[in-house]
Amino acid sequence: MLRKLKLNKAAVVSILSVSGLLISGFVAPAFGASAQPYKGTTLTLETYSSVPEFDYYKTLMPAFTKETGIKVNFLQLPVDTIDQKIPLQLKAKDAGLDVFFTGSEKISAFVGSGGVPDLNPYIKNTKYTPTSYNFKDVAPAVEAACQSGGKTYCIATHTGGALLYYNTKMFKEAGITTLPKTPEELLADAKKLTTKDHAGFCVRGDKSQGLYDAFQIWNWFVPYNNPITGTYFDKNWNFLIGSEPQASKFATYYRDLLQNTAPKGIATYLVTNCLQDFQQGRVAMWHDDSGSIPDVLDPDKSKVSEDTAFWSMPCPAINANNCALVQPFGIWMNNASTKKLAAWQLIQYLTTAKTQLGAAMAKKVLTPSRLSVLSDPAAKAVLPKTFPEALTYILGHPDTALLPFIAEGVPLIKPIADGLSDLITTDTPVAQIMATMKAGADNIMKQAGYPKPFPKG
Amino acid sequence: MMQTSAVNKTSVKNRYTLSYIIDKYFLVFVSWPSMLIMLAVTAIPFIITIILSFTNYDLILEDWKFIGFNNFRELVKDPQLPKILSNTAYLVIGSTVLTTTFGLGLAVLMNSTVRGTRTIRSMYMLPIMTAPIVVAFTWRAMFNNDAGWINWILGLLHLPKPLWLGDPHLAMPAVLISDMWTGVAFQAILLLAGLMSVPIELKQAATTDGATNWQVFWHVTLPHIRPVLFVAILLRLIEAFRKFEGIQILTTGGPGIASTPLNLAIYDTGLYYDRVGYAASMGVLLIVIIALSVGLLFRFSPKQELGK
Amino acid sequence: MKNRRRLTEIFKSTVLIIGLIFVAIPFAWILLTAFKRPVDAASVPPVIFSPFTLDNFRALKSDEYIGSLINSVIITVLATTTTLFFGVPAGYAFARGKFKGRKFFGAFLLFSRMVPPVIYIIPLFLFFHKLNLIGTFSGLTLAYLTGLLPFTVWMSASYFQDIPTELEEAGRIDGCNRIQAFVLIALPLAMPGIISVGLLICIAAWSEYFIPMLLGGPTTSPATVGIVNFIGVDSINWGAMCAGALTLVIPVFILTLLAQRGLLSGLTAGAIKG
Repeated sequence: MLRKLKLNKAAVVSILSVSGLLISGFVAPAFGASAQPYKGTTLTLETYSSVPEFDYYKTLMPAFTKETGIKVNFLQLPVDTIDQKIPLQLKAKDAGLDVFFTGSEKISAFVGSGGVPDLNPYIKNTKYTPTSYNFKDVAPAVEAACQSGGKTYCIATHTGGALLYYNTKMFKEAGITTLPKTPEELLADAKKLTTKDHAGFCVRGDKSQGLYDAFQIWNWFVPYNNPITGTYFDKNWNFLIGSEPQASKFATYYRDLLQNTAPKGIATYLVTNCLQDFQQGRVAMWHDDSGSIPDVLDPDKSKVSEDTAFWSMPCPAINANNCALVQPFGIWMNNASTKKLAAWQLIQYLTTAKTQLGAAMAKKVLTPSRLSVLSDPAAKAVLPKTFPEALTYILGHPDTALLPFIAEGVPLIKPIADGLSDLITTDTPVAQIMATMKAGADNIMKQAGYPKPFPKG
Repeated sequence: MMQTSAVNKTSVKNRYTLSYIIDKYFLVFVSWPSMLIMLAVTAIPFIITIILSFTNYDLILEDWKFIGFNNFRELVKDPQLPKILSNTAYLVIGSTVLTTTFGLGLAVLMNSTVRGTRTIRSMYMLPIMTAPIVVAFTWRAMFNNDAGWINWILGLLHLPKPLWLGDPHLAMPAVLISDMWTGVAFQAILLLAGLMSVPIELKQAATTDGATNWQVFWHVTLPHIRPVLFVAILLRLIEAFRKFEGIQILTTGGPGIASTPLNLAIYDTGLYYDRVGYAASMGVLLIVIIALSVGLLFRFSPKQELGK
Repeated sequence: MKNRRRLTEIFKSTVLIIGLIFVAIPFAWILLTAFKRPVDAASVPPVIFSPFTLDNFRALKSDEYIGSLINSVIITVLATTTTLFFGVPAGYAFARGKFKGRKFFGAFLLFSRMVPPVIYIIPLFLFFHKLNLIGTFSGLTLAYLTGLLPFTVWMSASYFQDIPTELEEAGRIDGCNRIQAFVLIALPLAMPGIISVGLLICIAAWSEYFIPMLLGGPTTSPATVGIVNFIGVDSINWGAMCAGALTLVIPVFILTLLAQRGLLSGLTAGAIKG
């Protein structure tokens, strides 16, 4: 009898524990299933290396894995490599890439090749995206750079607005008390600020920079026509940049500015060169994307961290509402990915208000894309003082078409970039250079079968 | 690697044993794997490149089609082609001639000094041992107009400070200078090996016959190192056509196309402007140019045979 | 007469030393910059000596860079051994035999060495992608082979040609077959040359950048690609790049010093026959 009792006790214990295990085994997945439906998936994300913003996102990955059970291969590669490898991977329909960050200017290329899917179905579906995500909080003016034809192809992670970095000390020394409000004033100031110790104005002039430089300047001379083709074409496909009278006005100004007030060698300047010159106190003004703000304010990297301020050039009459370049980095999904739902979770995670606020507080992203973060007092305390005003103006007057939203956007770079380079390095008459530029652009459009019906926004 | 069969004196009688077959066809057996690998990994992409040159394949657009010789027609009419070709010629001829000449001079000097030759030699090996990408970055920093050492040193010597990387006329010379850093050292080491193999007796015989140093060099040494010289020139020629990081990182081919040789132009066209078909046609052109150049070189050195 | 001789000696030494200074200056820059803060590394005007910092080496310690160094070692070993394995016997075949396709093979080898990778890299990428070779060590080794194999075959052939055939023929009379003649007689004699070729292709594989940049993957990229990671979108971290450059150069330097004797005699022997 006793033996039986003993057995029973042991048996009961073991039966209880085994059933306990079994129950938890059955129940836990059910719980886990609702909390971690993609558990065990591994995603691959590619982005640029040595960028504070992405370095920060990488540190968030362990927390993401803990929360969702999704592992992430967070790959950082040099800019040039990413920019060249991504198109290859998209073309080859490489399922080994799920999510990637790049600039948003090549949107027409990615969309045209069918490389990236529309994200709207994911955004709008409350099963995958809680309402707290609040997509509309991402500044619409900025997100427009990621959208085309009513579809959303990427999520903007920061503002990417272009503004003027300037050195307050040099302005004082040159006796300039008010900031320039017209291109002519800018040119005059730049000439005053060109001394034997420093140049007056810098902008990236190398042909590999995707027309970034001239875009910021021609927007003061070339009328903005529509959100799809921006300052490039009107609805009849006339090439606006090369059309008179604005072509010569712009070209003369550009040549004067870059030949007489810019550092020598400006024609090969990459963004790193301008940044370095500004950090070393070798140039008084620098017009570029706001993304470099952390780098100029860091005393470990910049000699002028105490003397830097920001300004947004007001729009001239010819382009009164859309002269400010807005080109954010976007986070995209690969259309060939086999784990799209999990990928969307990752994209979502990296673009929530919480993530952006954290990045701002950590001083890794000083130009967030979400309106709620921009107006958050805690974030405001960390943002540089002159920045919010500049940013507000940019967001109110955006031009997101760094390249036109058509498939020929990338090939068009060549004739334009060649013409811009000639403006700086040769003495060929302005009108002739712009005419050649126009001929080159027209040729590309003709070969692509234009004029075609104008696409719908 | 292969099974070593026991020495079998009767193998001659058994004509069809495995070891006999391996033995007879050993040479073929051992060379064909290399050939097959090379064919697979090189020939197939070549053929694809040639095929692509007849298409309008693009990294952006979804569909593509055959367009016959259109790419080549466009290439011939391309207004930038003459500049690109002249850059290529400048680089190839400049690199080969300058590095070989200076390398030879340096090698002669190293050969005739007695003290510390081994240490000097190892120091001159440094440029060869440095990865081209590191060389490229270093020279880019050195040539920087403001922060670079070259202009700084020139300033100390009260010499004018040229705008190396920003001036279209100086970009290619800057590339050449950075190329010489590696190239002269490489040629020097290679030619030194050749110089050291010239029998001293021959030189001494000539000297006793009354020849000056220069005559000894010209009539005894130089003919003797002709094969090495040929190899050195050939290698340098090929390297000059292949040069990539050294130019891309230094100037990105700029300003404009001032320092873009054909090699770099293909890269830009294919991977930056995404026009793969057109880039392939430029590739075909480059292959033809290289083949012609190498062929010319072989013409001038009749004693060398191909495929030895 | 003696004075003249001394003068020429001094002249020669001076020229050599000037040459050495030109060689050394870029290295001095790398060495100094590796210990500078970013603001000093890019300083205008340049500063030779500035506050010392080890931050750059700490930046290297990150997982990726060390991983990429390990990948460099793996790829170099794989590429060198594979190339020698296939190339040396092929070189022997060239030197000794008249076999089918010899002329074609020789021309093809030279041809494939001549052509810059740029021309076929896109088709190669797409081709490798179909075969799932992108980002794998085997894919990278194959791609490296295309560049290293021709050189190896060519140089091995010339070393083998240097060895008189009488020795092997004597061996064959004694009953050796071709394999034994190769392994036991020819190979040991050509060993100095083989070692030097091995060293050269080792250095070439270690220094390769373009191919792994496009064909490498996250777990297989070597340090030459890893070093470029210090170029950001807008700023270049010169200090960390120089620190990385040192990790690339110093191993090669040590290896070469150790094998220097073998390298030069090998180059001598091989180069004479071209």
